[in-house]
Amino acid sequence: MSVSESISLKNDLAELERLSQLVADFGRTNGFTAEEQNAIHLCLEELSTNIISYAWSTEEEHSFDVRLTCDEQLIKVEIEDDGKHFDPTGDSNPDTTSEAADRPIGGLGIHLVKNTMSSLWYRRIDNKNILIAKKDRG
Amino acid sequence: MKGTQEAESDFNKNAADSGQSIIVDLSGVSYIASIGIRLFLTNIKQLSAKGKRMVILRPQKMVEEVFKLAGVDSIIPIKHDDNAAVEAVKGA
Repeated sequence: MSVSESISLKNDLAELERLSQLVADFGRTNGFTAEEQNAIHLCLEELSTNIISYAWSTEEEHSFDVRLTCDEQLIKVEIEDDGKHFDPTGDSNPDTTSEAADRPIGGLGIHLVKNTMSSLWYRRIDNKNILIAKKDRG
Repeated sequence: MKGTQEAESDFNKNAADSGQSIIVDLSGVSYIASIGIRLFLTNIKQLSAKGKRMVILRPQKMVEEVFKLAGVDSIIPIKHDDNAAVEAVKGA
């Protein structure tokens, strides 16, 4: 049987606190391991930070939707926003090998998500970015 | 994000601004994301420009994995005991 929880977030970085709380509560209720808890938290924090920071070019208030679903086999994160087109699955791999002086500071978030979740799926539908990240359990 | 800014300001004061090689004990930290990684990268850039080093001591499993995925362990060594950290920070 699958369980689901949804939240609508504003384009304000302070909303990340509410997101952390949702992940903590959802994980506790559904018996997430520490590894699952951390991976889902990281995934939602990185993707939401990108949306809040870059999806809209004005500072007007916008909102986007996050849904968490899980059963015994799978944890699923769905994020939907009506901001500008952005496909994180096509993002190139950042430089993780050069010396300190040459190392870029940015671009790591999506790289971390790709490497901690089992799969990432993206489609642009009706002028919305739809992202689904899955993590296999056990 | 107030907490992040405070942590950033405190960390910079104690790390890069000190101009000394440092060992950062992360044993009490259970979670890190790219915003935290950026803080370490900014500081190691300033330290290495002065010929100084930084070593991470006893990170928890999740934190160590994120540092390794980000490739940060190649410029900030990760150690799990005090002596090894001291040796690494001296550059031995």
